[in-house]
Amino acid sequence: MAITSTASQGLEIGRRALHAQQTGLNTTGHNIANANTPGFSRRQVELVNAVSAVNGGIGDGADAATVMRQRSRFVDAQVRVQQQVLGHWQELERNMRGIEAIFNEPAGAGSSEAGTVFNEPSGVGLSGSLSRFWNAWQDLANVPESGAARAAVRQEGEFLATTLRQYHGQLLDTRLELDLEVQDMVFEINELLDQLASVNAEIPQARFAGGTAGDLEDQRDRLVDQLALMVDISVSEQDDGQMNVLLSGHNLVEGDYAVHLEVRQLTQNGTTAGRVAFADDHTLAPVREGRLRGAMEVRDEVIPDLHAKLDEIAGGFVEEVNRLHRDGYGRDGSHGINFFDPFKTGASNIAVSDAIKEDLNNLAASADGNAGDNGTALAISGLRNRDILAGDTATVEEFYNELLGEVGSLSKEAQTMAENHRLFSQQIENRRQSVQGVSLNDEASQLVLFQRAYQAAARTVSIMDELLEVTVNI
Amino acid sequence: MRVTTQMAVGTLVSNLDRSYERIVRFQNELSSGTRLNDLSDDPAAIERSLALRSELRNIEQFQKNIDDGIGWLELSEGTLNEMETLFVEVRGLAVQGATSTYNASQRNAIADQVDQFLEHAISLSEARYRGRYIFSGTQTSDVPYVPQRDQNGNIREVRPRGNADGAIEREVADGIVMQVNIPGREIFEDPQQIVIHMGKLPDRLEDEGDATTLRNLFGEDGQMTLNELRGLLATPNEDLGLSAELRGVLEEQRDDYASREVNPFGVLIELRDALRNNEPESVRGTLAKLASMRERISSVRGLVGARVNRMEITRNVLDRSTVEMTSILSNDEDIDLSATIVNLQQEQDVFQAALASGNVVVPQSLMDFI
Repeated sequence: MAITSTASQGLEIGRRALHAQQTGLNTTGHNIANANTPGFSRRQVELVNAVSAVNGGIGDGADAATVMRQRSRFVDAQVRVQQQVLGHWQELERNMRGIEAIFNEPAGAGSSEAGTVFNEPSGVGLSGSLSRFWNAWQDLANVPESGAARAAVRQEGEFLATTLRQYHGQLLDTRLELDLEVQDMVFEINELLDQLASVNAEIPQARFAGGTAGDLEDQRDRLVDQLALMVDISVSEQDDGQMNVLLSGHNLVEGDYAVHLEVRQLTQNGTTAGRVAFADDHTLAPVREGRLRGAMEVRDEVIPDLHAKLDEIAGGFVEEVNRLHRDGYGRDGSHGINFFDPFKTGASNIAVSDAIKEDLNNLAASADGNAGDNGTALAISGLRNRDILAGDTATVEEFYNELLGEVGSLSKEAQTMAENHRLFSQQIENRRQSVQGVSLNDEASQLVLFQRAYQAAARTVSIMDELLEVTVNI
Repeated sequence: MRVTTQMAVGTLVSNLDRSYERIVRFQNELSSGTRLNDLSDDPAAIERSLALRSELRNIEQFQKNIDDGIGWLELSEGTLNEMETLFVEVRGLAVQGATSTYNASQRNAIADQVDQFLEHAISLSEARYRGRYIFSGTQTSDVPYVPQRDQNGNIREVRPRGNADGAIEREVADGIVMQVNIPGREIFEDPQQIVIHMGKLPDRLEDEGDATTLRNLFGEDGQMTLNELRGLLATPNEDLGLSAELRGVLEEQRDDYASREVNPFGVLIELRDALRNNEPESVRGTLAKLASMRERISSVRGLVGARVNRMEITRNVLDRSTVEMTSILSNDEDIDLSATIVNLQQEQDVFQAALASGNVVVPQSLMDFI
């Protein structure tokens, strides 16, 4: 049988081709429009040749079958894991920088020694206060009869106490700020959970309506990414395109239902702080990664540790200085006086005792009651070299320097890790972009391809039209 | 790998960020002159540098202490020097007064001079360093010696006040304490610690048993103070069981050394009164005491000189360690200027190249050609 093919068939092929190429052009236009939209996955038109059984194998032209969303689940999962770790270290980095700055705080304010703006080496911080305190006692030992040297000792004592109180106070402020930040983060997480639940609700409908849910899925994936930066979630995608979110085995989002997190004020080791719990059964939620973890780690571990160490310094100081001072004699023969207030033994309240504040004659330099004796002054300045802290294994200075070293190391570690993970994140993000990102070069070439094909298809239609005209005018 | 426009821009921006961060960091180092601007810059180096800095501050204080101590000791030395001269001159007067050709009025005239020296000796004992009596032990606000005068204003007796043997110390280096005052008692009162050396004493004993007993009494260092010897001899002999010969030798030592016990004020008063009373024999009797007094002052002065020396040596050691520590500190803290400048320059080149390449690559796409 001979193959018969009609001009109207040709018109149909042309019409379909125009539709198909137009779809291609529109998709390319959508891609270009979203070239800079975060979380957008580029679309690709799947063209298929339209199958027809009637026209003798010529075929029915082309159809745009589907528009595919370009996405790699594998890379997405990697990104999420990476986001959790990155969030943790970035938050640590930011907060440790803040804590570091507390110990740097008065930098420049009084750094008389040239060539440094860093306050600790310049003697403005606690380390310098300590040196000046010991040295004031030595000065008093040189002139134990002097009132001026006594005034200097008292002043340095007060300065030292103020410095310790200031450090303690600033750390406390930081902790309270972090506590608020944890609450804000939980609030933010709940918002994300709600949004995700409502996007989840729409996805199956969109799919059912015959359309593709590509834009909703982009939105969904983006929300999950944002969640992953905050807290260590795990996810699973259902067949209908809904994304379920779990936090260490406990559901946060199941389909269109979201379980909130809540902050419960609990007291632990004498400090009250907001702990994160699940809002449905009120059990504490274990948080191991993400920004939330970073903030909680500094709030619950780093700062209490530093507080404890500052308290140990203050306590050791008050006890040892007072013990020696009580054994000494003041200028007016007073005896058994405390230099620091014996009831204020923490870094939060350490203060020079009222007796010393009221009368400098109460300040003891003499060990035997004679005006020229400097035994007590020498003994107190000798505390400098005595191991009175950390179970009698470290001098005050060693102990404090170690504390500073610890703060510095923690901060450096956080900075290095955050930087590493930023690089790593960027590499993975690049891998993801390589799959889903819009390349203007690609799109330009697509434009040209579809445009040319469209022009040719239009030409086909016009030729068919001419053929029909010929036929009609016979 | 497929590279998209966003990737190219993202990579460019993050590279620019990092390069810029390094530039700022180098610039910060250059403008501050130190590479330790934050605790996290180099925690280990900062711990080291903090320890060194507080050590340096200690040393600064030690140097102050030493300067103060040396001031105190030098005043003591000067006073003792004057004191020694005083006794040399008084001895000259005593030699004159002992001469048999002098008559009563001449001796009386010498007595007037001795009286002046006595007053001067009292004023020397009242030497003050920054308002503190240096020979008063730790009771530095009190005059160490108070003269008792008769109705004519003549000094009859000089009484010590306060604790003239209290020690005043300065910390001159970590844990090293040096006494800076000479307790007045060592100069102005009968010495408590006249030391008797055993020397060749055992050879003078015929009985070998006695020699062994003697060695045992003096102990391993071969020394015994005069007061110890007195205490020993005050014990009844039945308890000691010493042979007559040994006891004799010990008593001889005791009496021999006892003559060295002199009180400077006492000997001056004794001399003055002997001259006033026109007793040349008594005047002659003071000569040995005057000589031993001079000797004692001289030896104390030597001690003071030795302490000044030790302090100065300590100060030199501290100076040297200051230099060493400062250089270690500089190693840790200071930037290598030329290296940092070169690094900054390199980083700047990188930054500019990145900017330039961004300018070339980012704006271009296929769009420009179709």
